[in-house]
Amino acid sequence: MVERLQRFGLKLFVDADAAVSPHAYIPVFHRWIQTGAVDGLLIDVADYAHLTDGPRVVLVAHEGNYGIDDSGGRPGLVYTRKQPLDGPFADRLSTVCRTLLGAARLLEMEQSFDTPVTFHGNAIELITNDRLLAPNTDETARAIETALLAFATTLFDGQACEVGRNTGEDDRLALNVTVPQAAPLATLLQRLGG
Amino acid sequence: MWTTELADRIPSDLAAEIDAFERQIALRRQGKIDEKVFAETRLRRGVYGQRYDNGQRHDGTGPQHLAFPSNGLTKGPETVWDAPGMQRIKIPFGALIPEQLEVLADLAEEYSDGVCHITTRQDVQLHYVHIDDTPDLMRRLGAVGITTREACGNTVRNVTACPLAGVCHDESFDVTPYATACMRFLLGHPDAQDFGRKFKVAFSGCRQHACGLVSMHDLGLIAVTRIEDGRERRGFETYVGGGLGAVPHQAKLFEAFLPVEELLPLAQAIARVFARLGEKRNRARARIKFLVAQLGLEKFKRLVLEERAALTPDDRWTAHLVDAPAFVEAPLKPAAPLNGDRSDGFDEWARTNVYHQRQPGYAAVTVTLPLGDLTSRQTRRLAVIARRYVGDAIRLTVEQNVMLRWVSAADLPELYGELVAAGLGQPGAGTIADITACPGTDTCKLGIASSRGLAAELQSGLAATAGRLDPAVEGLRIKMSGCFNSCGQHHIADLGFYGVSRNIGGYAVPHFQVVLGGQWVDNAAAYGLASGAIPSKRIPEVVARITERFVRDREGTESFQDFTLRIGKRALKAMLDDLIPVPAHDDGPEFYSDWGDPREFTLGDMGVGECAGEVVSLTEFDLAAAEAQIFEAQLQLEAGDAARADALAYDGMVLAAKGLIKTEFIDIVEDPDVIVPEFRTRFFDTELFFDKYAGGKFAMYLFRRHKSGPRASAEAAHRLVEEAQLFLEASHACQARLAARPA
Repeated sequence: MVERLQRFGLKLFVDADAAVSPHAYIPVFHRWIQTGAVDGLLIDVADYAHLTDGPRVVLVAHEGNYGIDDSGGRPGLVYTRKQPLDGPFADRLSTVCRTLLGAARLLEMEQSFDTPVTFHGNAIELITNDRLLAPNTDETARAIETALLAFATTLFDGQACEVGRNTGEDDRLALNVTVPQAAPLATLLQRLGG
Repeated sequence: MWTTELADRIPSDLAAEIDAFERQIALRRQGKIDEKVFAETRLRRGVYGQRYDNGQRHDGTGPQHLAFPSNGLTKGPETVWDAPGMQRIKIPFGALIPEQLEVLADLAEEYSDGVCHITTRQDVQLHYVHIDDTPDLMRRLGAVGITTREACGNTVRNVTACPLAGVCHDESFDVTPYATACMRFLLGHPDAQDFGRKFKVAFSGCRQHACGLVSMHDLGLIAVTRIEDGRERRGFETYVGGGLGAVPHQAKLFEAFLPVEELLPLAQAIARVFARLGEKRNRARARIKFLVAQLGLEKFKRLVLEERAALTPDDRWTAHLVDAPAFVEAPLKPAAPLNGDRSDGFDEWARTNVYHQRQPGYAAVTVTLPLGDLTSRQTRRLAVIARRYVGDAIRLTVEQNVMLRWVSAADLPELYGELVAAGLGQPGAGTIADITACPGTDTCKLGIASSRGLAAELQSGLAATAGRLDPAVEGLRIKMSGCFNSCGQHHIADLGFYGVSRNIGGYAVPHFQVVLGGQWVDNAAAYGLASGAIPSKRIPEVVARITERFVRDREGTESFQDFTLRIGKRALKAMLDDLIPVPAHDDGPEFYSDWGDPREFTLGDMGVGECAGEVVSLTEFDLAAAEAQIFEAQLQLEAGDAARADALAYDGMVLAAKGLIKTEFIDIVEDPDVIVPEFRTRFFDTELFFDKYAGGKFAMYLFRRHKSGPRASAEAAHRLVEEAQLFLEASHACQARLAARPA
């Protein structure tokens, strides 16, 4: 099952207290489209700043969407892959993570924000986005966890990982990995060969 | 595959329709279906275009090419295959159950961007959907009883009705079962497939409220009763030819009392007259309102009644209504009065969002959705809340909100608490802060200005004043559209706005026309008139000035409509004149971009709208369907199922023959034993079908197979599939010759 999973997302978190207003991301994402700052065929920006518990601003791209997202009260940046990638799941996971880290690094360097954005360099969440192939069951969770931990070993340089799972049985299966020592995003990216 | 997973949960006819649509997608990919035919085919399944799907986008510095990997493949004229689109999901009169909400939430996450959008016609829309995902999306909807069939295109669109039907204090009777019957009867009805434009139906339980908006519909029905022979008889005050759009028309009274048993035959007769006489070439004048205006109501009515008299009786006219008189919605929980502790904010929320039903101890609760949006997670939580408090009693409203009906009043405080926890506890339903807006430039190809951006700006300002507004102002309605087409229903608002553009010093500047004096109540009884264009960035000031003056100069309990009439358009415009000038680009650059969009404003992103659909003849549809059947026959042949291949190839030929017959005789039935002789008489004996070189050879393929019946051998099936393909090509050629004949 995991080997066939193409639709999934990865999310990096920011402190809820330090989250930048979603409105501030809108001009940034428009600028990214102008300059081609991040991976993919960038199409448009969807403004959902008026909502809560989900996407707030989405940079829509053909291959996958970048979203400022506060699902479950945990704000962060999520990259959700839509189009299939070649190679084994481990490689695809790495590719998606590099795309996410690249965008997150740009946000950390963004000068237009009143307060800088800093992502947690010790945690990442994988959200499956295919209920047919990856239903939110214990069996799927075990299979995903195995793949995610193998990936996290590289990403977090072999640190001991704490794995958590979302609880809503109707939600998409999501597993998060946390390690004790945070690393800068550039370091994480480097570990993935980026 | 979802096909397998849901095989026993989707009605077989719907499953077959979706399979056929998936085959048409495959055929379009192979270039075997014309792009216009495919466009109307997908529109009729609710698969709609979206802004930038022509592969162009102005990024603020200039127009940019979006290099989708489609290799020239299109899904309609100037519509790139891989460009994301919108999926409209028909929700008849907005009625939903929790299980359906959950599936909508899932689909928004997996195929869209995690947001469900409620429209002004009680539909749900998902944006940024890839066309390749639509068959599975439809299957998952089909498994919970939802079809997207005829959600767009030149068809009967979603049948709408008051969300308070059945619980309203003022209704004559509950219109729900009649709206259901109308929807079931007209969905896919052969007489409703050949329109030049869309056709919208609405039901209302009473005359005085706005919930049904009957006056702005092609066919509007208001519940009325009368006493005959000492017994109450149900009927409908029936209106035709209403509509908003660029040229709004008030519907005309067609019949003061249409007995309920005449509802479906009359709808059918109107559909037939519209299909026969409605404009087909000029889309701008193809709605039925133009036909009614052109013929005059009396002549239109006479034609419809003649059509009605000539209709072949149909059992469904009454069968769909059998259970209507006894229809009642069962509450989940017993009625109980409101008592106990109330949290902060409850009273203010209850004042605007709770309607006490005519059934004592029950309330209908409006869940206010900003801009008609809710996230997948909120949608799922709403399903849980509904299941806990009201069961299946959920309705979407034309003001882009959700209504939970049959809430036991004692549960209101607890329900409110759960809505707040889900981010859905916003007060202000039905107030000036509850703004209606179409998608505008966010996603619509026709959008000129950002209706959602402006609505969000106004909403956040007005929400901050919740509970402190003068009651006269609080009850006003604001509605806005991104262009003159009125999807945001700006004509029927107290304060309406629609997007326009003005050229200032060589730059395009977003503006909104201010439309004053529309009437929301009495089923949208009057339309407002444009009072001048104001720069978009100054619209909040327009709202402030007009509402302040209304509070200051209002006489007694004067309505806003009466106030605007009394003050006069000249004086109102004078109040706003100083807001019209736009500073030079360098002095006020903010005027040159739109709300919520920092790009330099441009009209360059506008595309060709699909609201009007493509006018595709019934013959073209049948030929496309035949193509799909024959394609499937080839697949079955490859899979080794000769008998199935034989049957499909034969069905394809019969479909093509039927399509050609429709050029002369629209009422041809589905029976091959009727179709084949008709085809012989009309196209073979007349030599209309004859090829220049092959003569009538291809027609003989059909005749032979019709006479011989099924053939099970692989060799015979193989030959028949080839013959069917040739028959189809000959049908296309014949149709082209017929189309080229002088009118």
